[in-house]
Amino acid sequence: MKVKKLIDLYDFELLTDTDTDIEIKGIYSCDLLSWVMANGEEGNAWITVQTHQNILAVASLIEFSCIILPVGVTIDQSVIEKATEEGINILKSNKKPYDIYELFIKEGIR
Amino acid sequence: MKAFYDVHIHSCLSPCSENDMTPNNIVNMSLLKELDVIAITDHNTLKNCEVAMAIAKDQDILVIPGIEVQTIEEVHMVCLFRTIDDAMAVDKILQEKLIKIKNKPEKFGQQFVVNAKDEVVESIDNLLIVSVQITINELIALVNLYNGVVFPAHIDREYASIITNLGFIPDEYNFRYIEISKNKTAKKYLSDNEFKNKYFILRNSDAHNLGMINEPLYSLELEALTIDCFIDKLKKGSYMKELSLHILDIARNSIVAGADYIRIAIIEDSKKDELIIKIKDDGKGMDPETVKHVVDPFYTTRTTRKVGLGVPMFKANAEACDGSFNISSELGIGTELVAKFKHSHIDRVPLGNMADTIITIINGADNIDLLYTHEIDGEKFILNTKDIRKRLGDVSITNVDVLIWLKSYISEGLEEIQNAV
Repeated sequence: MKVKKLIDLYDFELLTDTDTDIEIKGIYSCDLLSWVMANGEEGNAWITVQTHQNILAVASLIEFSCIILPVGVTIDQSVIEKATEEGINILKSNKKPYDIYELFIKEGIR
Repeated sequence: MKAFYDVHIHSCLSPCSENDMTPNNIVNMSLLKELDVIAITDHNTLKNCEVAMAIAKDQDILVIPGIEVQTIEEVHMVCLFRTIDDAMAVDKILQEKLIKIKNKPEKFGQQFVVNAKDEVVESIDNLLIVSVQITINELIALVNLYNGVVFPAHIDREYASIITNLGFIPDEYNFRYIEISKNKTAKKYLSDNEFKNKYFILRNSDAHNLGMINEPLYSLELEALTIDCFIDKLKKGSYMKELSLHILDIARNSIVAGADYIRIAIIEDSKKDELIIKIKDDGKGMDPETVKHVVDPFYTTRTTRKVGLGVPMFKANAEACDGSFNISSELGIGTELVAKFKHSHIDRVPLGNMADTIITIINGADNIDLLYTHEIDGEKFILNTKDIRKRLGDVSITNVDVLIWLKSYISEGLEEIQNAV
Protein backbone atom coordinates (compact mmCIF):
# COMPACT_ATOMS: atom_id res chain seq x y z
CA MET A 1 0.00 0.00 0.00
CA LYS A 2 1.17 3.50 -0.77
CA VAL A 3 0.92 6.46 1.59
CA LYS A 4 -1.52 8.21 -0.73
CA LYS A 5 -4.03 5.39 -0.37
CA LEU A 6 -4.41 6.28 3.30
CA ILE A 7 -5.40 9.77 2.25
CA ASP A 8 -7.56 8.87 -0.77
CA LEU A 9 -9.40 5.92 0.75
CA TYR A 10 -9.18 6.03 4.51
CA ASP A 11 -9.67 9.66 5.44
CA PHE A 12 -6.14 10.30 6.74
CA GLU A 13 -5.25 13.98 6.53
CA LEU A 14 -1.91 14.93 4.94
CA LEU A 15 -0.46 17.83 6.95
CA THR A 16 2.66 18.31 4.86
CA ASP A 17 3.13 19.34 1.26
CA THR A 18 5.09 16.22 0.37
CA ASP A 19 5.28 13.25 -2.01
CA THR A 20 2.89 10.47 -0.96
CA ASP A 21 3.71 8.09 -3.78
CA ILE A 22 5.77 5.99 -1.38
CA GLU A 23 5.32 2.34 -0.49
CA ILE A 24 4.52 1.50 3.13
CA LYS A 25 6.57 -1.55 4.01
CA GLY A 26 5.40 -2.11 7.55
CA ILE A 27 4.19 -0.42 10.67
CA TYR A 28 5.98 0.74 13.79
CA SER A 29 4.75 2.42 16.93
CA CYS A 30 6.70 3.91 19.83
CA ASP A 31 7.18 7.34 21.41
CA LEU A 32 10.66 7.06 22.92
CA LEU A 33 12.78 8.37 20.08
CA SER A 34 15.98 6.69 21.22
CA TRP A 35 14.12 3.38 21.05
CA VAL A 36 12.71 4.20 17.63
CA MET A 37 16.18 5.07 16.35
CA ALA A 38 17.42 1.67 17.46
CA ASN A 39 14.46 -0.44 16.32
CA GLY A 40 12.53 1.28 13.54
CA GLU A 41 12.84 -0.12 10.02
CA GLU A 42 13.09 1.56 6.65
CA GLY A 43 9.75 2.09 4.89
CA ASN A 44 7.67 1.68 8.07
CA ALA A 45 4.71 3.90 8.75
CA TRP A 46 5.42 5.26 12.23
CA ILE A 47 2.56 5.91 14.66
CA THR A 48 3.55 8.30 17.44
CA VAL A 49 2.13 10.89 19.80
CA GLN A 50 5.53 12.57 20.13
CA THR A 51 5.49 15.78 18.08
CA HIS A 52 8.78 17.36 19.05
CA GLN A 53 10.85 18.51 16.05
CA ASN A 54 13.29 15.65 16.69
CA ILE A 55 10.76 13.21 15.16
CA LEU A 56 11.80 14.58 11.76
CA ALA A 57 15.45 13.74 12.35
CA VAL A 58 14.46 10.24 13.44
CA ALA A 59 12.09 9.74 10.48
CA SER A 60 14.72 10.77 7.95
CA LEU A 61 17.42 8.72 9.68
CA ILE A 62 15.34 5.54 9.48
CA GLU A 63 13.65 6.57 6.20
CA PHE A 64 10.14 5.97 7.41
CA SER A 65 7.48 6.19 4.70
CA CYS A 66 5.35 8.46 6.87
CA ILE A 67 4.59 9.63 10.39
CA ILE A 68 1.02 9.03 11.57
CA LEU A 69 -0.46 11.05 14.41
CA PRO A 70 -3.39 9.14 15.91
CA VAL A 71 -6.56 10.80 17.19
CA GLY A 72 -6.23 13.75 19.56
CA VAL A 73 -2.60 14.63 18.84
CA THR A 74 -1.75 18.23 17.96
CA ILE A 75 1.44 19.37 16.28
CA ASP A 76 3.17 22.72 15.99
CA GLN A 77 2.97 24.43 12.60
CA SER A 78 6.73 24.97 12.61
CA VAL A 79 7.31 21.20 12.73
CA ILE A 80 4.97 20.68 9.78
CA GLU A 81 6.81 23.32 7.78
CA LYS A 82 10.15 21.74 8.57
CA ALA A 83 8.76 18.33 7.54
CA THR A 84 7.65 19.75 4.19
CA GLU A 85 11.13 21.15 3.70
CA GLU A 86 12.66 17.77 4.51
CA GLY A 87 10.12 15.87 2.43
CA ILE A 88 8.73 13.84 5.32
CA ASN A 89 5.06 12.84 5.19
CA ILE A 90 3.06 13.63 8.31
CA LEU A 91 -0.49 12.28 8.41
CA LYS A 92 -3.19 12.88 10.93
CA SER A 93 -5.84 10.28 11.61
CA ASN A 94 -9.05 10.37 13.58
CA LYS A 95 -8.51 6.71 14.43
CA LYS A 96 -6.95 5.17 17.53
CA PRO A 97 -3.71 3.21 17.02
CA TYR A 98 -5.52 -0.13 17.36
CA ASP A 99 -7.91 0.77 14.55
CA ILE A 100 -5.00 1.86 12.38
CA TYR A 101 -3.31 -1.52 12.90
CA GLU A 102 -6.54 -3.24 11.97
CA LEU A 103 -6.76 -1.25 8.76
CA PHE A 104 -3.15 -2.03 7.87
CA ILE A 105 -3.67 -5.75 8.47
CA LYS A 106 -6.73 -5.64 6.21
CA GLU A 107 -4.47 -4.06 3.57
CA GLY A 108 -2.06 -6.99 3.91
CA ILE A 109 0.66 -5.16 5.80
CA ARG A 110 2.11 -7.17 8.65
CA MET B 1 35.60 29.86 45.76
CA LYS B 2 34.96 26.19 45.38
CA ALA B 3 31.30 25.45 46.09
CA PHE B 4 30.20 21.86 46.67
CA TYR B 5 26.71 21.46 45.34
CA ASP B 6 23.69 19.23 45.01
CA VAL B 7 20.97 21.14 43.18
CA HIS B 8 18.51 18.31 42.56
CA ILE B 9 16.95 17.11 45.82
CA HIS B 10 13.33 16.02 46.38
CA SER B 11 11.55 16.95 49.59
CA CYS B 12 8.61 15.19 51.22
CA LEU B 13 6.38 17.06 48.78
CA SER B 14 7.41 14.72 45.96
CA PRO B 15 5.26 11.59 46.31
CA CYS B 16 8.16 9.28 45.51
CA SER B 17 10.46 10.63 48.22
CA GLU B 18 10.56 9.59 51.85
CA ASN B 19 8.43 11.49 54.32
CA ASP B 20 11.50 12.34 56.43
CA MET B 21 12.83 14.48 53.55
CA THR B 22 11.62 17.56 55.39
CA PRO B 23 13.33 20.90 54.70
CA ASN B 24 14.97 20.80 58.17
CA ASN B 25 16.34 17.30 57.62
CA ILE B 26 17.56 18.12 54.12
CA VAL B 27 19.30 21.32 55.20
CA ASN B 28 20.88 19.66 58.25
CA MET B 29 22.00 16.59 56.34
CA SER B 30 23.52 18.84 53.67
CA LEU B 31 25.34 20.79 56.38
CA LEU B 32 26.68 17.51 57.82
CA LYS B 33 27.85 16.56 54.37
CA GLU B 34 29.56 19.95 54.10
CA LEU B 35 27.74 21.04 50.97
CA ASP B 36 27.73 24.75 50.10
CA VAL B 37 24.78 24.94 47.70
CA ILE B 38 21.66 22.83 47.50
CA ALA B 39 18.32 23.19 45.71
CA ILE B 40 14.96 21.74 46.61
CA THR B 41 13.55 20.48 43.31
CA ASP B 42 10.26 18.70 43.74
CA HIS B 43 8.25 17.30 40.86
CA ASN B 44 6.23 20.09 39.24
CA THR B 45 5.97 22.24 42.36
CA LEU B 46 8.00 24.83 44.25
CA LYS B 47 5.91 24.89 47.41
CA ASN B 48 8.53 23.60 49.88
CA CYS B 49 11.28 25.99 48.72
CA GLU B 50 10.45 29.05 50.76
CA VAL B 51 10.51 27.21 54.07
CA ALA B 52 13.82 25.53 53.22
CA MET B 53 15.34 28.91 52.31
CA ALA B 54 14.12 30.36 55.61
CA ILE B 55 15.59 27.46 57.60
CA ALA B 56 18.97 27.88 55.88
CA LYS B 57 18.99 31.66 56.20
CA ASP B 58 21.39 31.89 59.13
CA GLN B 59 23.26 28.73 58.28
CA ASP B 60 26.40 28.17 56.32
CA ILE B 61 24.58 26.87 53.27
CA LEU B 62 22.77 28.33 50.28
CA VAL B 63 19.33 27.01 49.33
CA ILE B 64 18.17 27.78 45.78
CA PRO B 65 14.45 27.57 44.92
CA GLY B 66 14.05 24.97 42.22
CA ILE B 67 11.70 22.57 40.49
CA GLU B 68 11.90 19.45 38.37
CA VAL B 69 9.36 19.95 35.60
CA GLN B 70 8.05 17.09 33.50
CA THR B 71 7.30 18.60 30.10
CA ILE B 72 4.77 17.51 27.52
CA GLU B 73 7.54 15.41 25.90
CA GLU B 74 7.80 13.61 29.28
CA VAL B 75 11.29 14.99 29.70
CA HIS B 76 12.49 16.05 33.15
CA MET B 77 14.05 19.49 33.34
CA VAL B 78 15.49 21.12 36.45
CA CYS B 79 14.82 24.86 36.77
CA LEU B 80 16.48 27.13 39.34
CA PHE B 81 15.42 30.64 40.31
CA ARG B 82 17.04 33.67 41.90
CA THR B 83 14.27 34.60 44.31
CA ILE B 84 11.29 32.92 45.89
CA ASP B 85 9.03 35.51 44.22
CA ASP B 86 10.24 34.49 40.76
CA ALA B 87 9.89 30.85 41.75
CA MET B 88 6.32 31.19 43.01
CA ALA B 89 5.25 33.24 39.98
CA VAL B 90 6.41 30.38 37.77
CA ASP B 91 4.79 27.85 40.12
CA LYS B 92 1.45 29.58 39.60
CA ILE B 93 1.73 29.37 35.82
CA LEU B 94 2.85 25.73 35.89
CA GLN B 95 0.06 24.62 38.27
CA GLU B 96 -2.54 25.78 35.77
CA LYS B 97 -0.92 23.61 33.11
CA LEU B 98 -0.44 20.54 35.30
CA ILE B 99 -2.50 17.54 34.19
CA LYS B 100 -5.23 16.97 36.75
CA ILE B 101 -5.16 13.48 38.23
CA LYS B 102 -5.93 12.81 41.89
CA ASN B 103 -3.07 11.33 43.90
CA LYS B 104 -3.49 7.89 45.46
CA PRO B 105 -1.15 8.28 48.46
CA GLU B 106 -1.17 4.55 49.24
CA LYS B 107 0.14 3.90 45.76
CA PHE B 108 2.33 6.90 44.86
CA GLY B 109 3.18 8.33 48.29
CA GLN B 110 2.30 11.43 50.29
CA GLN B 111 2.67 14.99 48.99
CA PHE B 112 3.32 17.17 52.05
CA VAL B 113 3.89 20.91 52.20
CA VAL B 114 5.48 21.59 55.59
CA ASN B 115 6.40 24.56 57.78
CA ALA B 116 9.69 25.44 59.48
CA LYS B 117 8.86 23.03 62.32
CA ASP B 118 8.37 20.17 59.86
CA GLU B 119 4.64 20.17 60.55
CA VAL B 120 2.40 19.29 57.62
CA VAL B 121 0.44 22.37 56.58
CA GLU B 122 -1.02 21.01 53.37
CA SER B 123 -1.35 17.73 51.56
CA ILE B 124 -1.49 18.29 47.81
CA ASP B 125 -4.39 16.44 46.21
CA ASN B 126 -3.37 16.49 42.59
CA LEU B 127 -0.74 13.94 41.62
CA LEU B 128 2.53 15.75 41.01
CA ILE B 129 4.38 13.10 39.00
CA VAL B 130 2.56 13.75 35.73
CA SER B 131 3.34 16.07 32.82
CA VAL B 132 2.84 19.80 32.77
CA GLN B 133 1.24 20.86 29.47
CA ILE B 134 4.28 22.85 28.41
CA THR B 135 6.87 22.07 25.75
CA ILE B 136 10.61 22.18 26.50
CA ASN B 137 10.79 25.23 24.27
CA GLU B 138 8.07 27.06 26.19
CA LEU B 139 9.58 26.07 29.52
CA ILE B 140 12.97 27.50 28.56
CA ALA B 141 11.31 30.74 27.48
CA LEU B 142 9.27 30.93 30.69
CA VAL B 143 12.25 30.32 32.96
CA ASN B 144 14.33 32.85 31.03
CA LEU B 145 11.53 35.36 31.44
CA TYR B 146 11.92 34.94 35.18
CA ASN B 147 15.69 35.15 34.92
CA GLY B 148 16.26 31.58 36.05
CA VAL B 149 18.17 28.72 34.47
CA VAL B 150 17.12 25.32 33.06
CA PHE B 151 19.13 22.18 32.51
CA PRO B 152 18.02 18.73 31.36
CA ALA B 153 17.93 16.24 34.24
CA HIS B 154 19.67 12.81 34.33
CA ILE B 155 20.19 12.69 30.56
CA ASP B 156 21.63 9.16 30.82
CA ARG B 157 18.54 7.64 32.42
CA GLU B 158 16.20 5.33 30.57
CA TYR B 159 13.11 7.11 31.81
CA ALA B 160 12.08 10.76 31.40
CA SER B 161 15.41 11.89 29.99
CA ILE B 162 15.85 14.16 27.01
CA ILE B 163 18.01 11.62 25.16
CA THR B 164 15.71 8.65 25.77
CA ASN B 165 12.58 10.53 24.77
CA LEU B 166 13.91 12.75 22.00
CA GLY B 167 16.79 10.62 20.75
CA PHE B 168 19.38 13.38 21.13
CA ILE B 169 19.78 16.83 22.65
CA PRO B 170 18.57 19.46 20.16
CA ASP B 171 21.30 22.04 19.54
CA GLU B 172 18.80 24.87 19.34
CA TYR B 173 18.34 24.84 23.12
CA ASN B 174 21.95 25.90 23.62
CA PHE B 175 22.33 23.97 26.85
CA ARG B 176 25.72 24.50 28.42
CA TYR B 177 25.10 22.51 31.57
CA ILE B 178 23.44 19.12 31.62
CA GLU B 179 22.93 16.69 34.49
CA ILE B 180 24.29 13.15 34.47
CA SER B 181 22.92 10.82 37.11
CA LYS B 182 24.91 8.83 39.61
CA ASN B 183 23.62 5.55 38.16
CA LYS B 184 25.65 3.06 36.14
CA THR B 185 24.20 4.52 32.94
CA ALA B 186 26.34 7.64 33.51
CA LYS B 187 29.51 5.87 32.40
CA LYS B 188 28.71 6.03 28.70
CA TYR B 189 28.59 9.83 28.75
CA LEU B 190 31.37 10.41 31.25
CA SER B 191 33.79 8.53 29.01
CA ASP B 192 32.66 10.31 25.84
CA ASN B 193 35.15 13.10 25.16
CA GLU B 194 33.13 14.71 22.41
CA PHE B 195 30.20 14.94 24.78
CA LYS B 196 32.33 16.33 27.56
CA ASN B 197 33.72 19.00 25.24
CA LYS B 198 30.25 20.11 24.33
CA TYR B 199 28.65 20.31 27.77
CA PHE B 200 29.54 21.11 31.32
CA ILE B 201 28.37 18.27 33.49
CA LEU B 202 26.47 18.57 36.76
CA ARG B 203 26.37 15.59 39.10
CA ASN B 204 23.41 15.90 41.41
CA SER B 205 21.94 13.26 43.66
CA ASP B 206 18.25 13.40 42.63
CA ALA B 207 17.91 12.34 46.28
CA HIS B 208 14.64 10.80 47.44
CA ASN B 209 16.03 9.93 50.87
CA LEU B 210 18.52 11.62 53.19
CA GLY B 211 21.34 9.17 52.62
CA MET B 212 21.30 9.81 48.88
CA ILE B 213 22.24 13.51 49.16
CA ASN B 214 25.65 14.20 47.59
CA GLU B 215 28.86 13.87 49.55
CA PRO B 216 31.15 16.89 48.97
CA LEU B 217 32.49 15.45 45.70
CA TYR B 218 31.17 17.77 43.02
CA SER B 219 31.93 21.46 42.98
CA LEU B 220 31.69 24.60 40.86
CA GLU B 221 34.02 27.58 40.99
CA LEU B 222 31.95 30.58 42.07
CA GLU B 223 32.84 34.25 42.51
CA ALA B 224 30.83 34.37 45.69
CA LEU B 225 28.40 32.11 47.49
CA THR B 226 25.20 33.73 46.26
CA ILE B 227 22.27 32.43 44.24
CA ASP B 228 22.99 35.02 41.54
CA CYS B 229 26.57 33.82 41.15
CA PHE B 230 25.46 30.19 40.94
CA ILE B 231 22.78 30.85 38.34
CA ASP B 232 24.98 33.21 36.33
CA LYS B 233 27.60 30.47 36.23
CA LEU B 234 25.09 28.02 34.76
CA LYS B 235 23.72 30.59 32.33
CA LYS B 236 27.08 31.71 31.02
CA GLY B 237 27.57 30.69 27.43
CA SER B 238 24.08 29.38 27.03
CA TYR B 239 22.73 32.83 27.60
CA MET B 240 21.32 35.04 24.87
CA LYS B 241 22.09 33.08 21.76
CA GLU B 242 19.01 34.72 20.28
CA LEU B 243 17.91 38.34 20.40
CA SER B 244 14.40 37.29 21.44
CA LEU B 245 15.90 36.16 24.77
CA HIS B 246 17.18 39.70 25.33
CA ILE B 247 13.68 40.95 24.59
CA LEU B 248 12.25 38.55 27.16
CA ASP B 249 14.81 39.64 29.69
CA ILE B 250 14.04 43.33 29.21
CA ALA B 251 10.28 42.70 29.22
CA ARG B 252 10.74 40.97 32.55
CA ASN B 253 12.44 44.08 33.92
CA SER B 254 9.43 46.08 32.77
CA ILE B 255 7.06 43.69 34.55
CA VAL B 256 9.13 43.91 37.74
CA ALA B 257 9.08 47.73 37.39
CA GLY B 258 5.29 47.57 37.64
CA ALA B 259 4.56 48.55 34.05
CA ASP B 260 0.95 48.59 32.83
CA TYR B 261 2.05 49.06 29.26
CA ILE B 262 4.94 47.57 27.28
CA ARG B 263 5.71 48.51 23.72
CA ILE B 264 8.02 46.28 21.70
CA ALA B 265 8.98 47.45 18.22
CA ILE B 266 11.25 45.62 15.83
CA ILE B 267 12.32 47.30 12.64
CA GLU B 268 14.27 45.44 9.99
CA ASP B 269 15.56 47.59 7.16
CA SER B 270 17.59 45.85 4.48
CA LYS B 271 18.42 49.10 2.65
CA LYS B 272 20.03 50.63 5.71
CA ASP B 273 21.21 47.16 6.76
CA GLU B 274 19.75 47.74 10.20
CA LEU B 275 17.88 45.80 12.83
CA ILE B 276 16.39 47.96 15.55
CA ILE B 277 14.77 46.73 18.75
CA LYS B 278 12.86 49.28 20.84
CA ILE B 279 11.29 48.44 24.16
CA LYS B 280 9.37 51.02 26.14
CA ASP B 281 7.39 50.77 29.34
CA ASP B 282 5.51 52.96 31.80
CA GLY B 283 7.03 51.28 34.86
CA LYS B 284 8.48 53.08 37.82
CA GLY B 285 11.59 54.16 35.91
CA MET B 286 15.12 54.71 37.18
CA ASP B 287 17.17 57.71 38.26
CA PRO B 288 20.30 58.57 36.19
CA GLU B 289 22.58 56.95 38.75
CA THR B 290 20.73 53.63 38.53
CA VAL B 291 20.73 53.75 34.73
CA LYS B 292 24.49 54.10 34.82
CA HIS B 293 24.78 51.06 37.06
CA VAL B 294 22.41 49.03 34.94
CA VAL B 295 24.59 49.25 31.84
CA ASP B 296 27.79 48.77 33.80
CA PRO B 297 28.75 45.10 33.86
CA PHE B 298 30.26 45.42 37.31
CA TYR B 299 26.91 46.45 38.65
CA THR B 300 25.90 42.80 38.75
CA THR B 301 28.55 41.90 41.32
CA ARG B 302 26.76 44.07 43.87
CA THR B 303 24.66 42.25 46.38
CA THR B 304 21.62 44.49 45.92
CA ARG B 305 21.13 43.62 42.34
CA LYS B 306 17.92 44.69 40.71
CA VAL B 307 18.34 44.22 37.00
CA GLY B 308 20.87 41.52 36.33
CA LEU B 309 23.22 40.59 33.59
CA GLY B 310 20.73 41.11 30.78
CA VAL B 311 21.23 44.78 29.99
CA PRO B 312 25.04 44.83 29.82
CA MET B 313 24.97 41.70 27.65
CA PHE B 314 22.35 43.17 25.36
CA LYS B 315 24.49 46.30 25.02
CA ALA B 316 27.67 44.32 24.40
CA ASN B 317 25.84 42.26 21.79
CA ALA B 318 24.61 45.35 19.91
CA GLU B 319 27.95 47.08 20.02
CA ALA B 320 29.74 43.96 18.80
CA CYS B 321 27.57 44.13 15.68
CA ASP B 322 28.51 47.69 14.63
CA GLY B 323 25.35 48.86 16.37
CA SER B 324 24.48 51.03 19.30
CA PHE B 325 22.59 50.81 22.54
CA ASN B 326 20.74 53.49 24.39
CA ILE B 327 18.65 53.43 27.51
CA SER B 328 16.74 56.41 28.84
CA SER B 329 14.62 56.40 31.92
CA GLU B 330 12.75 58.78 34.12
CA LEU B 331 11.46 58.12 37.61
CA GLY B 332 7.71 57.72 37.64
CA ILE B 333 7.47 57.90 33.85
CA GLY B 334 9.11 54.75 32.51
CA THR B 335 12.05 53.38 30.59
CA GLU B 336 12.90 53.24 26.92
CA LEU B 337 15.61 51.14 25.41
CA VAL B 338 16.85 51.14 21.81
CA ALA B 339 19.29 48.57 20.49
CA LYS B 340 20.58 48.84 16.93
CA PHE B 341 22.39 46.07 15.08
CA LYS B 342 24.00 45.89 11.67
CA HIS B 343 21.54 43.40 10.15
CA SER B 344 24.11 41.49 8.12
CA HIS B 345 26.86 41.53 10.74
CA ILE B 346 28.49 38.13 11.01
CA ASP B 347 28.26 38.16 14.80
CA ARG B 348 24.62 39.12 14.93
CA VAL B 349 22.73 36.24 16.55
CA PRO B 350 19.34 35.37 15.04
CA LEU B 351 16.24 37.16 16.23
CA GLY B 352 14.79 33.85 17.40
CA ASN B 353 11.18 32.84 17.75
CA MET B 354 9.19 36.05 18.31
CA ALA B 355 5.82 34.26 18.48
CA ASP B 356 7.00 32.16 21.45
CA THR B 357 8.57 35.22 23.05
CA ILE B 358 5.43 37.34 22.82
CA ILE B 359 3.24 34.47 24.06
CA THR B 360 5.54 33.98 27.03
CA ILE B 361 5.31 37.66 27.95
CA ILE B 362 1.51 37.61 27.65
CA ASN B 363 1.34 34.43 29.70
CA GLY B 364 3.65 35.83 32.36
CA ALA B 365 1.86 39.16 32.76
CA ASP B 366 -1.70 38.91 31.54
CA ASN B 367 -2.80 42.27 32.95
CA ILE B 368 -0.23 44.28 31.00
CA ASP B 369 -1.11 45.99 27.72
CA LEU B 370 1.44 44.83 25.21
CA LEU B 371 1.82 46.52 21.87
CA TYR B 372 4.11 44.60 19.54
CA THR B 373 4.95 45.89 16.08
CA HIS B 374 7.31 44.26 13.64
CA GLU B 375 8.32 46.02 10.45
CA ILE B 376 10.31 44.50 7.61
CA ASP B 377 11.17 46.95 4.81
CA GLY B 378 7.93 48.88 5.27
CA GLU B 379 5.65 45.85 5.72
CA LYS B 380 4.15 45.91 9.19
CA PHE B 381 2.65 43.44 11.66
CA ILE B 382 0.82 44.79 14.71
CA LEU B 383 -0.41 43.00 17.81
CA ASN B 384 -2.21 44.92 20.53
CA THR B 385 -3.29 42.86 23.52
CA LYS B 386 -5.59 45.66 24.70
CA ASP B 387 -7.76 45.26 21.59
CA ILE B 388 -7.63 41.49 21.82
CA ARG B 389 -8.64 41.49 25.46
CA LYS B 390 -11.56 43.78 24.65
CA ARG B 391 -12.74 41.40 21.96
CA LEU B 392 -12.32 38.36 24.21
CA GLY B 393 -14.71 39.78 26.80
CA ASP B 394 -14.88 37.41 29.75
CA VAL B 395 -12.43 34.91 28.28
CA SER B 396 -8.92 35.24 29.71
CA ILE B 397 -6.10 36.01 27.30
CA THR B 398 -4.07 33.27 29.00
CA ASN B 399 -6.71 30.65 28.17
CA VAL B 400 -4.81 27.82 26.43
CA ASP B 401 -6.94 27.97 23.28
CA VAL B 402 -6.48 31.74 23.04
CA LEU B 403 -2.71 31.38 23.44
CA ILE B 404 -2.55 28.68 20.77
CA TRP B 405 -4.55 30.91 18.45
CA LEU B 406 -2.38 33.94 19.26
CA LYS B 407 0.78 32.00 18.61
CA SER B 408 -0.29 30.95 15.15
CA TYR B 409 -1.69 34.44 14.49
CA ILE B 410 1.72 35.96 15.25
CA SER B 411 3.66 33.29 13.32
CA GLU B 412 1.42 33.73 10.28
CA GLY B 413 1.50 37.52 10.52
CA LEU B 414 5.28 37.58 10.64
CA GLU B 415 5.52 35.13 7.79
CA GLU B 416 3.18 37.27 5.72
CA ILE B 417 5.32 40.38 6.06
CA GLN B 418 8.44 38.31 5.45
CA ASN B 419 6.96 36.97 2.21
CA ALA B 420 5.63 40.35 1.12
CA VAL B 421 9.16 41.76 1.00
